[in-house]
Amino acid sequence: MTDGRAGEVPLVEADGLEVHFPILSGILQRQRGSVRAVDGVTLSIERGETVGLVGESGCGKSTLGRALIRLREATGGTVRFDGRDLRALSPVELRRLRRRMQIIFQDPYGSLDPRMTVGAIVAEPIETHRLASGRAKAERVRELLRLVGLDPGFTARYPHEFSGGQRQRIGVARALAVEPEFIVCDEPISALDVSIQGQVLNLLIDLRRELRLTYLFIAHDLAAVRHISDRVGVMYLGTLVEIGRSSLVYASPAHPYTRALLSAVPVADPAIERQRRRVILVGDVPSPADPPPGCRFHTRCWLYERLGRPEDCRTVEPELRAVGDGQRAACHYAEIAQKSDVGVVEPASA
Amino acid sequence: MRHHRSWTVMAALLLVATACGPTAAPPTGGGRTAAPTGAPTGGASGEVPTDGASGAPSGEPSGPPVTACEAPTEPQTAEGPLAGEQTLRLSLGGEPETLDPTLAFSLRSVEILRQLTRPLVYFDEELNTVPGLAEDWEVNEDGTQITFDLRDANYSNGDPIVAGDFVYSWKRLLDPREAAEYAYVMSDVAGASALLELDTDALPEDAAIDALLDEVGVSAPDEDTFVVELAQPASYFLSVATLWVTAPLQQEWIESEGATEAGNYVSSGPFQLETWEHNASLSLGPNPEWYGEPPKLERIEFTVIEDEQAALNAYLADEIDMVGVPSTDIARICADPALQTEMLSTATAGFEYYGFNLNDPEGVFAKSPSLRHAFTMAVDKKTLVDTVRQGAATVAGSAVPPGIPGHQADVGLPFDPEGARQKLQEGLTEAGLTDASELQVTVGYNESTLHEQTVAFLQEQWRTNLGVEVQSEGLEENSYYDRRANDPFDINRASWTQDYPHANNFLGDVFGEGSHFTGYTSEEFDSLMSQAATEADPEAQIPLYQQAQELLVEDAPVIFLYWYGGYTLIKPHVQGLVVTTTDEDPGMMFFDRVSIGEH
Amino acid sequence: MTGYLIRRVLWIVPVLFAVSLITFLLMHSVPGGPWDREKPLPASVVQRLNAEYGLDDPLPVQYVRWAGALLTGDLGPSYRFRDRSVNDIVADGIGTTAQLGVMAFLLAVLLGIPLGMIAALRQNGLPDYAATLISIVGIATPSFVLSILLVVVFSVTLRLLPTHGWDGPSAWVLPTVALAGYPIAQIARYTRASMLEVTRKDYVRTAYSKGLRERAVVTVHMTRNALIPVVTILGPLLAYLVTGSFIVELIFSVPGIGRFYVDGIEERDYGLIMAMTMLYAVIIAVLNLVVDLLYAYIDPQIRYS
Repeated sequence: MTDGRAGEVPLVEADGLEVHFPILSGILQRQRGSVRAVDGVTLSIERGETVGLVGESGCGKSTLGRALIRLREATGGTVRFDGRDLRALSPVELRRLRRRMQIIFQDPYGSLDPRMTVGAIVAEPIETHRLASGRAKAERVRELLRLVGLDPGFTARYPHEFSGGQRQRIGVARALAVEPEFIVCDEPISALDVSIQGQVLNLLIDLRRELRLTYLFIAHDLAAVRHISDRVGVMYLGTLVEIGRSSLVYASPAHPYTRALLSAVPVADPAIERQRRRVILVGDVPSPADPPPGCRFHTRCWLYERLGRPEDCRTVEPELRAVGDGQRAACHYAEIAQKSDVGVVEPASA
Repeated sequence: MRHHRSWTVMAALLLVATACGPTAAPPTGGGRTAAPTGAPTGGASGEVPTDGASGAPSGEPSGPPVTACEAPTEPQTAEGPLAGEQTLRLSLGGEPETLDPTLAFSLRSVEILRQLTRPLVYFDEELNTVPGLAEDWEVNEDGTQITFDLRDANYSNGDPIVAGDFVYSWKRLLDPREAAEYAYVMSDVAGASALLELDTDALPEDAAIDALLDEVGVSAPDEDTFVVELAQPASYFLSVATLWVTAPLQQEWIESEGATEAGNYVSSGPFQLETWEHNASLSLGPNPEWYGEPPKLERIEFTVIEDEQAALNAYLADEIDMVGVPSTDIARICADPALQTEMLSTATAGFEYYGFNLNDPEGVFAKSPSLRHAFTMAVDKKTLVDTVRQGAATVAGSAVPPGIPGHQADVGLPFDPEGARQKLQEGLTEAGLTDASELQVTVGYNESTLHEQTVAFLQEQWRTNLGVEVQSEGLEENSYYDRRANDPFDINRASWTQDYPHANNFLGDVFGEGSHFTGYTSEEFDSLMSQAATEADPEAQIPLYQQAQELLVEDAPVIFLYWYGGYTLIKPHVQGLVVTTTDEDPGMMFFDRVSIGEH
Repeated sequence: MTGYLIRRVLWIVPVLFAVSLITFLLMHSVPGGPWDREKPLPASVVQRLNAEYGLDDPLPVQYVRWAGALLTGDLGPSYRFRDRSVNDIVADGIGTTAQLGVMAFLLAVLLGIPLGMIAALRQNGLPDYAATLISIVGIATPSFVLSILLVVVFSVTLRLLPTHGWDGPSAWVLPTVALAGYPIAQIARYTRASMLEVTRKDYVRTAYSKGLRERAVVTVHMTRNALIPVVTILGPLLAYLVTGSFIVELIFSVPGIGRFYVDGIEERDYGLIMAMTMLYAVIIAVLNLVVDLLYAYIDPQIRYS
């Protein structure tokens, strides 16, 4: 896959996107502050592209994914879908546009209405968008089930009668029912058994090719994103700290946080495993209601310690800046980080 | 307007306060079974002795005396122009247990039966015995036979009331197969004791019972003559012949299926039963066959309202014409200028008392009459009546209540703390004790707010005036009665309400022949009772009862606290009420004289 | 399913047996009997009454006699209402009590569920606070306090509705409202909590992502799922309303049977106590069964076998 086609509008475009949740307290529920779940993210996704998004839980990656398709209301910035400002759409227009953007949730148990049969779950969006009716609708449902590798005879069953992997396939079929262009895959495999994860991942990869889909693929695990992503973004405390082509980000990560994450990924090759240096992130993730000043990561940054705690890390918030071919990182010392041997999984040449 | 609103708020608060009071269980206010009694204890709640919901607001019984409520004791009797609808609306404290005159025992059943039946003898306004269904009667020389001449009268179904119906009805009352609670009032009738004392563990064959019933001294020589043979003279027996259980019964009717239901009921009184929706309401209309002057009322409506507070609200909402004032509301209603004028102060023939346990001859109270005197004289009954009872009672020193011949207002042990302490010292010596602290005394009662407050008051009085610390124990109602009858406390709460308005019912029937739970026995007392029973002349009879009463006060087996009274709200348009001390609702003995004025 | 149903119904039998035996023993272990009066009855009368009703027989004999009669549908005599049988008394009042209970139940459901839903959908908004306030007041106010307030306001002061009785719709209003007060609050609270929980479910997000209108999401996805836990409390609630109305019946003089439970216990009317206990036990057992079956019907995840 390529890095988008020049001259065309990106399919999804976020600019300075913010999602802040108010913290209310007291009997009058006065706002006392806010949780900055997503705090100024700028990101664009080209048609046909798959962007992986990783970060520890609570970093805001799921919220970002939802805000991109306006399942979560943004409190600042803009989101464009195919050039249209999502936040400016009327409810009717938004509902119409929903056909083109879908989401697959992490929890295959919770995302399917337990009181609906599989057939009804998959058929509902078809009905809502009047894509088909009657026999055509039923045929479409069966086709979708076949497409995701399920027995089309299962339409009358309820979600609880299926295994986790099968449910996730149902979720995928449901998302595909409206023939979307863009799907937010919100940790779609992390709740599944390891033996099933590969199957579902392969299904998503196959579907992308067959249906020319665009994915935002969210995971907390860099390894999982790697095989499916054209580009990878890394989030920390509501902001994007690094983004770039997968090969580059994995080979020469430019943000100390990315390196720390990578160092946690086990490597199959014992030679490399022995060779590389690992850092372990210490301390808790700071509260997104009160992020540290300067670089948000400095409180847990190994490079900051190694460099003798430079002042700008504490005072100046680093910009997301270019550090390589389409690779950008938000670190004052990205170049130093890039040359470090911490967390490297494979040679930069790969 | 303003007045009204503030009243509402206050009412709400008061009601809530009442409801939140110690009677947390459902407000079981009025009208449980009263004692078997023909006469009542004031108010529609029906039951002064076990007045469950009386959460008198005063938590401090010994606090400053409350000014008793000033209310007239005579209802407004002026006859104004009559209203178009002659309906008297009353509340009943519960579903009547039965309208079978033989089996009925509660005040509320009796109130209705007084309208539906008429015995041989009735009362006048002063409770003198006057002819009822008997036009006349004659007592033989030795007072053992009474011959009643029946008047020409019919039942509501048009059949004549004949002497044989009395024979049937009186025998039915004694028939052990009926197990009537009031059978014992027949005990003076010849042949009755053999039936009353039957060993019921092995009830004889029907034939044997029938043979005994044949021996009972009641007979009908002809249709208009009813003769009663008494086993021994009983000068008060005419009063017994006023009881509802002695009313005539048509055998064919009372033994028929559903006899007491509306539509079937055969009435011998001024009214007849029109409707009876069980547990909800009951209505009466004039009995067209009634021998006397036709009632002015076209209808008496009884609505079952168990909760006394609910009954008061029904009165305030103008849904009923009379209501007994719950003790919690006396002060409020008395202070309300509009309602105050509708208040009537009523007295009820009965008394509240506490009895000492004399059953065990080694018990302190059995050993020492002085101790009983001390405990009696230490109690300030006046303050008790003014505070705990809010003036709805009269301080009692003895048994026979005001209005009953033989009443003695000035007899009784006085409130005298000084004298009480002296008696205590004597009593301790008699009981073989040296110090008051050695006294181990427990007072028992059936739980209710009123009784708790009364006992707390008594404990305080004994503590303050005698220096004796008395324990108390409250039991649930029937458990308490059971305990009192079989294993009494040192001091036990009790009450007595009248069956028939005669001194004998307050003396002999309560304390005679060792039948009292205290275990009190006095040959002298019993002999005075039999003397009085044989004395037909009231002039000679009354002093004998009074002599017995003085003896009782001196023996002091019980502490007499007060004679019952109460307050009733009556709508001003209710005219012609004749109030007596036997009333459940004021005027119930003479509802045939009541009319409804224009309003 | 049929097997399950049969087993559940059969289970009721030993439960009822146990309930009846325990009630019987407890009832007779309480001191005092039906003939204990403030004015004591003569011993001979008590003896005769005991003989008449077989109360002098050994307890096992009495129990067997009672159970035997029950099997023929005879609930026995009432000691208090001597010329009426317990069957008469129960038959007289059960319709009224059931009507009151069912009306209060319907009112509670029809008000409680929307109240809870509005509160949840407008969480932390004014409707939510209003609904929460109603719930707290409703739960904290005992039915007798509510009853008395209703009477004072609507009957005594405004004279709009009768203070007592059961003569017609106007008389039904206050008792029904008084009885429904607590259940309204309880249902509203349950519904609100359940709705809020459902709001956070992914399938609700899914529904939005499908492009459904909010109304469709609320009715099709949220309500149907949110009401499942609510249904579980409806059975016990209906049982409570049908069996627990004695205070309301007392205050509004409603001629139901609720009062007889308390009266029966106070007056040791053993036949009445047993009848009421068995009746309530049956009602509760049956309603629990109905709820379980209903639960299986509305929640496809539950299957009985």
